[in-house]
Amino acid sequence: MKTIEVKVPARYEYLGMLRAAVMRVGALYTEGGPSREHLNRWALAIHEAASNVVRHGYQGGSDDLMQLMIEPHTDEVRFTLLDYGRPNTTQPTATPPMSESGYGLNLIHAVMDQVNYEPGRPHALRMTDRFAEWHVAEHAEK
Amino acid sequence: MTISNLPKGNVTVVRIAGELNSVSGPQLKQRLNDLFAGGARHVAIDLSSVAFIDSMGLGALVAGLKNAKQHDGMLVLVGLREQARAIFELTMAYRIFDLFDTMSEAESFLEGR
Repeated sequence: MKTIEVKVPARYEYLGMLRAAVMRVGALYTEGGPSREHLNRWALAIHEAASNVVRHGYQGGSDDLMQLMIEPHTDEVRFTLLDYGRPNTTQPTATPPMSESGYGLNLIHAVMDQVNYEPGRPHALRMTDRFAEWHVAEHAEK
Repeated sequence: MTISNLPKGNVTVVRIAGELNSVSGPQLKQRLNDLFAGGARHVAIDLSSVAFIDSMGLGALVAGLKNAKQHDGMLVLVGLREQARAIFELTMAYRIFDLFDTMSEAESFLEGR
């Protein structure tokens, strides 16, 4: 399957376009593809990653472009978010119950099997989810 | 996002349409602040027209829940849709909120409290 690339301005109002691209990944598989639940979770994780770029990388927004690359494979999907804003090396920390903030990074790590941040020009946030392992686990439970 | 509210007995029903996100989350937080400061006690938020909730949107709902408790009231959520449900499962926020499928169920729960 081909790599999909989407470029949008680093503004909140464009995040829905990134989510829409993620939700369409399921249509690329004829069988054994990601479930609807996977797609919803990936869309949320990508939204949070891009939202962090807008909020922290560009202090609320910029016309600079950020780029999402989606690489669908048989048993996993790799996402890469590229941006030229300020680097964000924040690490996820435990979010206490009833917290009003601090969920974003934890969500990304909860959804994806692998998350790597590479500061540079551009910065690259690489996220991989091996969704096929879910299918195996689901079948094993039955 | 649009927000409307309607007092129904001892419950104020807040209806939201659109997305609950980094832009609309702070607006909702302010609206709930105003409601509780204005004397509202129990609030039921209708999320059946909300297609997506992100971490900032969830933060606004948590802020509203804390505000309700400070005013000796309750805040409940109604009609969570599929895509909005993901964030509640991943953050386990469903543990701190009372969730209802329909507004009549939520109103029955809040009546007499």
